[in-house]
Amino acid sequence: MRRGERLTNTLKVQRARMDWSQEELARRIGVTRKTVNTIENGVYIPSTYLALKMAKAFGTTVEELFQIPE
Amino acid sequence: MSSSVETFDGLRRRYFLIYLVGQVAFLAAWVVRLVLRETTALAVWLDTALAIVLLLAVLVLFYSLLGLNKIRRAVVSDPALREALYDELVRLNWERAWKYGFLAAMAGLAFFAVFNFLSPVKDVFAFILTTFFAGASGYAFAFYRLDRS
Repeated sequence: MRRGERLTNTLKVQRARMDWSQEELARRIGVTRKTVNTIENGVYIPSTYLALKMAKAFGTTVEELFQIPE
Repeated sequence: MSSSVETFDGLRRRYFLIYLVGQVAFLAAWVVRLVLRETTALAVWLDTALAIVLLLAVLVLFYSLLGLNKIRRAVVSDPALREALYDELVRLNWERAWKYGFLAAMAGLAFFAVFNFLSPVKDVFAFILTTFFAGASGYAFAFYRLDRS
């Protein structure tokens, strides 16, 4: 992630909707809980592949999960 | 699998911290010994003390590498676990840590260039080795910090 690049995300909302913990989401997409945490807090922008896996796990689209802040 | 990933991730972080402590202790003792030896100010008692620190640091490094290897061997038979444990963030941190390792090696070279200007170096090979150790320590320290952040 380059300096200044940020994405907002709705991971927390989506997790709440599915009643999943970070650990549960991590298990479903095959990463560590820490990786989910850094993505959720906007510290790390995931690869396209991982973003697609997340969207698939939630049954939604990548655009629903990640947005470029206005 | 999730709890296994978290267990192994915690273990990996623990062994890596032990490795880092060993690496820093080794580098510090090595540099002090080298600089004092080059300036012929190394007393016998201090040389012995530094040799003990070096030996202990090597033991710590050996222990941590055994632990890290044990984790690697434990996950090698489970591709999903291995993939989760060495996920893209971990791999990215490895790559980013290389940059800091390189900078640490360059800083080591700059330090010894200045040192050589003040007091000509006798044991060039030891200085090259030290630069290598500085790079390895910089890499380990950067990875640990990136992994924690």
